[in-house]
Amino acid sequence: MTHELLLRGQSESGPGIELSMTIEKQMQKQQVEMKGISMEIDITLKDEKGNIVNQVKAPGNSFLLNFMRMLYAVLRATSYGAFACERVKTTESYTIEGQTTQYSRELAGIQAWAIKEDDSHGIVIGTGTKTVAPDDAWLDSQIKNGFSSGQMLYLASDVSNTEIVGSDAHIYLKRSFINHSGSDITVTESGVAVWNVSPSSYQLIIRDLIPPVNVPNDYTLDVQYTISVLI
Amino acid sequence: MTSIKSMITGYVISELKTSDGKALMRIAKPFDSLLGNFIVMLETLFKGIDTKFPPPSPSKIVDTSGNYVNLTFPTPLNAYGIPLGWRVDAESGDILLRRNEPTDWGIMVGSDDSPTTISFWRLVSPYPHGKDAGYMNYLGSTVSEPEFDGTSVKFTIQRLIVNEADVSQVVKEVGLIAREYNTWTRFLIARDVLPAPITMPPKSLLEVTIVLEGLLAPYQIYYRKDYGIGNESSRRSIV
Repeated sequence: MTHELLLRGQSESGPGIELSMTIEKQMQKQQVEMKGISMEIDITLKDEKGNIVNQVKAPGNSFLLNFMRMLYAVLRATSYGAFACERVKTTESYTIEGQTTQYSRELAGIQAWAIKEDDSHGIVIGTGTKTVAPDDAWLDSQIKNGFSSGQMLYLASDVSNTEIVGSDAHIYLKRSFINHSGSDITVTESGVAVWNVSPSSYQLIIRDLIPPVNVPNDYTLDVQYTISVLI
Repeated sequence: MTSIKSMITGYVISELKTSDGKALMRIAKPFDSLLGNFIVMLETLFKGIDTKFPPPSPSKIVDTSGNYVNLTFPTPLNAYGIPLGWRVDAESGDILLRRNEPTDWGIMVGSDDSPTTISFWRLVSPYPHGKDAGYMNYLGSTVSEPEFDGTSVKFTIQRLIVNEADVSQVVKEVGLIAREYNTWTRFLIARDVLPAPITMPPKSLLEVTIVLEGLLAPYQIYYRKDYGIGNESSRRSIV
């Protein structure tokens, strides 16, 4: 930042004097810890009776590019990339004993919750070890929902209500996974995928490599993301 | 407490200019005051609407009048989608007035410097849109598309504010107020107190730039040396 100061004066007997002075000030620089949206992951392993066997808290390291694309679309109420921010009404049908009934279904939002056994969005887990990259589009190697070898049962993925505690506001995203595959599965990655309802697409917005957790047969893995802002 | 390596953060740049655009001073500070309303907005987005499998009701935000309200979604228009979202890119106050629409949203400034708490829901002492003493003339906003520079992705929200009054006016707080698309519910999602008050001489301009920046894993960036726009790196691309 520069201020220039020009002073002029003139005596009665002689030529005027002119004084030019330049005051320079360095651009202000700061070095402080940043605040904003952060996250943590809680991983809990339970045995077949529900006893906690292992608990791990890991930093949520991996907001992806998609998270910022989503924010941009939402804060402008516009479409951006795959994030279209629309509300739609669709017509669906079901058939019972030959009778087909139609009903309308309304959808909106960029949903991070999912029903039981839906492994397309919500919290998802995998066995991949590829280093996280900002433009990751999906997990390296997702564990699919199911009972077969290498699969785990996905329970419902939930989004909590906002909690405000002291100077912190946060939401939890939670999901449990049960291993009924018949053999151990080692989980090494997790993420959060959202369903952009219209046009329908599934987008990964968070991906993390987590400390490997060996999940024996019939054991349950709980994964919880805490997304928070702190004043 | 575990260390956080990736986060969504940002900074605010306030640049005071003469009426012909010459820079007089510039203050930059971390954008460290996202509020509880912001998290409620995320929660509402993540829950959305599904009439087949209804999700639990989302929390309520506190609007700029102090009312607890649910954010709503636009009414569906048959099978055609219409925008859902909460705009922060306010048009100029005069244009909004001409359309008989509220002017108190987008980037706004005020004269109070009370510390921000997580439950703040309004600027403490905002300058409304206008041209007399006690008012500011809010011009239009611009929002840049997200840019990825190799270590972070950011986009900016910028607004020019003019002190049209014949007296100097002091700015101490900057707020970002979102507007619900359909209902015009307005709610504060961020408020920052400037590190030093800015005295705006008559007819001077204040350019406020809020940079929302995602510091993305696996990069470990805790600090930035200079919060100036133009913090270039070797790679840059629109994402």
